[in-house]
Order: sequence, then structure tokens, then C-alpha cells
Amino acid sequence: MSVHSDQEILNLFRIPEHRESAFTQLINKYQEKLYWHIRRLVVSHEDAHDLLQNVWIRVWKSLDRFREDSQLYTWLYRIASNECLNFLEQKKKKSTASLDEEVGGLSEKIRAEEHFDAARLEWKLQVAIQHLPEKQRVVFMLRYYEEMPYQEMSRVLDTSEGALKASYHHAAKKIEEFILNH
Amino acid sequence: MNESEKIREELSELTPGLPYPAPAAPFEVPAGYFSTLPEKLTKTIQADMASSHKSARILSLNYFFLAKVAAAAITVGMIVFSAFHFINSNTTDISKDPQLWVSKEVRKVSNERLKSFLELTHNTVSHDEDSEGLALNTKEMASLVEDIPNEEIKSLLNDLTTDDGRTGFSNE
Repeated sequence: MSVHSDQEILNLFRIPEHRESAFTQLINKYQEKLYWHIRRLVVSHEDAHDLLQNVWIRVWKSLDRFREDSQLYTWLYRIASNECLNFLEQKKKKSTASLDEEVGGLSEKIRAEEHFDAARLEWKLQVAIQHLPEKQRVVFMLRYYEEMPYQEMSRVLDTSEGALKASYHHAAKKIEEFILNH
Repeated sequence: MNESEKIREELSELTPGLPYPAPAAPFEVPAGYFSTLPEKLTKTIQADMASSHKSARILSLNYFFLAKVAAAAITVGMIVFSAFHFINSNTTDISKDPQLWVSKEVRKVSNERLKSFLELTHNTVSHDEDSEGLALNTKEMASLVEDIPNEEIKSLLNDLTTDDGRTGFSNE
């Protein structure tokens, strides 16, 4: 099956008889990227799977109304990031534990992973990320892992480029410091 | 240099202690997860759409029922309002048109009762008017002559002529 551009997929989606096949193409193209973005934020596979499912349901319901004033992948990351932030917010509200205990909870989840190795840099990085506030975590992920330009990030998070640069700078310094000290 | 390389260079200058490019997440994913995910998602979405169609139908039924109830309530409300307005328009407000109100009220009273009322009030009113007029005159006179010395009043009374042609009101 040939890989279509986002625009081609959108055009196909608008034709009723190609709607489902276009949507399957869209899932195939972005499922892994979105899954990893969500997984790094929420850590657990089950939570990531549920959230990813919600994201695709939302995309299916509102793709007709997508106005194309931003890129399709930016719009998908926007939906995924908002879904994760809402999930983390609700989890925090439900939990009677303090913020530090919640951070500890996510770090503990990482440490409980089957192949966890505290000496390996990629695991340290995941633990360090959980010490950031939620929105800063998303900023760091989009810039460091997705290598997204600030202009696109601004559309994803509805935040000015200047604020995002400052936020990324702050987050990256904190993570670097954590890695050097652990 | 492409956009990704530019970003990596900028990030490595900012935080040289972090690895570039970013390492893959070390988490495990169930075997075959991504190959089966599109089919599972499509089924989930179809099920979700089916259930939302069902709830949309229930919602539309409820909507029509509510619309009918609302229309009936509006009609009843309009009838009640019109009746209230009609009843109010036939009664005269005493503060707006007192004369009309009095004439309407008087029409309801029998001629005999009106006659006896008028006779009764005429006597009372004339008696009251006389006594009140007298009281006012006495008071008025007292205030008028308050500052005038008695001698001056006496000489004035002596100069006046009575109805029968005599001069002077004084007893002297």
C-alpha cells in the first residue's frame, strides 16, 4: 500500500466511500508516534492504550471540521496532548496523595518496568521527566523527542513561542541536572 | 542542514549532558500491538458510533416530546395572559381615571339610595361649611388685628356707618 501525504488522506476522507480506508491510513501513519508521545507522559501501557483509543475516536468525529490552518500532525498532537493533560489532571484530583507522592508514583511505575536498569541513560531520562510539572513535560517531549519547531508547538499547546522556549530551557536544565546527579 | 539537525544542534548547545538524537523509549509494548491496533481501533470507533446513533435517536425522541410540551405550555400561557388582560381592560383604574371610576360605581347604586345619600350629605356639608367658615373668619380676623392698638380699632369702629344709617359700632 502506497503511503499518502496528509493532504491526500484528508481529501480521501472527505469522499464517503473512501472514508474508512483513509482513516485506517491515517492510523497506520501516526499510531506509533502518538502512542509513544502518550506512553512517555503516562508511563503505563494500559493508560496509553485507552488514551490513544480516545484520541482516535475524537479524530474520527472531528476530522470533517479540521480547517487546515495548521498541519494535520500538529492537530493530532494537540488532541493527544490535551487528552493526556486532562487525564493527568483528573488523576491528580482523584488522588488524595500530595504532588510529590504522585511524581513518586509515576517514577515507581518506571522502576517497576520489567527491564528497568537504573544505570542506563534512557531509563534515567524517563525517571527525570516524571519530576517535571505536566505541561513542562509535554513541552520537553515535543521538542526533545519529536523535534518539533516552536511555531508548531505553539499551535499544539496554545502558548507563545517565547514562553515555550523559556519552558523548554528550564525543563532541559532540570533533566540534565537530574541525570548528572543520579 | 535540515530542521531536525538544526534543532538537535541548538539543544545540544543548551544541554550538552543530554544524549542527541533522543534515545527511543525503553518501555515494552505487547507483541504485535501496532499491527493489530488499526483493526481494533476501527471496530471500537464503529461500536462508539453505533452507540452514539442510538443515544441520538433517544435524544431526538425526547427532544420532540419536550418540544410538544413546550408548545402546549406556551399556548396555555398565552390564553391565560389574554384572559387576564381582557378582564383587566374592563375594570377602570381609580388612579388613572377617577371620574370614570366614580361614574361606573355610581351606576351600580339605586336611585332611592342616591337620593337619601345626597339629602344627608347636603345637610352635613352646609353645616360643616358654615361652622368651618366662621372658625376661619374668626381666626383670620384675630391675626389681622393682632398688631393694631385697641385705641385705633375703637376710633375705626366709630367712623364706620351701620346698615341702618347709624355711625359707630362702638358700645360707647
